[in-house]
Amino acid sequence: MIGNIAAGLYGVGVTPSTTSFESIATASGTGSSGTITFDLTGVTGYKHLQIRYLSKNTASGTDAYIQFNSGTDSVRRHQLLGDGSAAGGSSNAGTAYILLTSGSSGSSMYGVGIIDILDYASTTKAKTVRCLSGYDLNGSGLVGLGSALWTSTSAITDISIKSAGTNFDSNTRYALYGIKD
Amino acid sequence: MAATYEPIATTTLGSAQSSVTFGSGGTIPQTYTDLICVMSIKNGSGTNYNTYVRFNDVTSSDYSVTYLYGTGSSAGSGRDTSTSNGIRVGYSNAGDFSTNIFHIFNYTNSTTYKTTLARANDNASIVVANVGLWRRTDYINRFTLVNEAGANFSAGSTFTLYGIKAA
Repeated sequence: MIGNIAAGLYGVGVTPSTTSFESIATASGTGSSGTITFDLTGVTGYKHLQIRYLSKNTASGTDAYIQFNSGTDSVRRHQLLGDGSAAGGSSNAGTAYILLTSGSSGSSMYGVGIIDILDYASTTKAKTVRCLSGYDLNGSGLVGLGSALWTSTSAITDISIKSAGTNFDSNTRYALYGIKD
Repeated sequence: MAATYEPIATTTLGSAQSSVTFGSGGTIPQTYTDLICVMSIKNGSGTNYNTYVRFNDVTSSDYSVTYLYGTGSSAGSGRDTSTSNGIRVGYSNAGDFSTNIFHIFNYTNSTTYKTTLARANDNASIVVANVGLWRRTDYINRFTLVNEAGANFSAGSTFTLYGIKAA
């Protein structure tokens, strides 16, 4: 079932199951805060999580990051990015955040993305994340594929999305979904 | 919690045709948060072509896209700016069916421009990730898919539209 959902969403060609994908919560920007948090206390019955977002910062050109359980464990991440003229890769290690490619600031133009957090409640595995995201500003923009490893084996109990130094505008929306196995 | 990934409509082509429309007359339900379109397509031209989406029958140059691709031997990136073609959301050839999926975010919103994400795959030649923009705040109640250079979608091509509703 899970493979079916993931395949459906990412292009392997299998029609996704429509009965095991549920909305858990949606959080919106306020214009005065740069942090959005999902508290997973009491959330049970799911194997994987997905976040779908439409996001914009109140200042120009800043990225957003995702952090688990207040982020004291390290993260390794790799990205493949296209900026409209060239493709490039990058990686980081040892930070407490996972970069999202959502740094849109154009008027009415929003970054979007889909983040999959696999086996989020496991207490024996380090957690892995993948993301398809980007923004287009009609003449500039960025699209990227990313993957990341959070080295903790703790179950993920809260997820924070943080804007890098600015606030999320009031039309920003992060929607959290659960996928059953 | 209720399941929220629901099929809205599906089309399987019995014969080749030049375009496919969902929500003809403006009938896409406005009850979901995002739309997902899954396409298994090939074209009858003998050439590798992009597939574009146009919203609400609008053909003005309000569309743009940034894309990232790999061909098996190299990777690159490009963009379309202020184009009337629509947003690139798929890719196909005349041989095997190619699988393409694109997402339309916040399509009922009437205050933000509309943004798409796509993963396009032509088995013979390329994989692509696209982010697209429609510089209109109109809510989307129909969209049309067309191929580059007016190429037909071949018989057997399938198109399925899903809706996802956020809490």
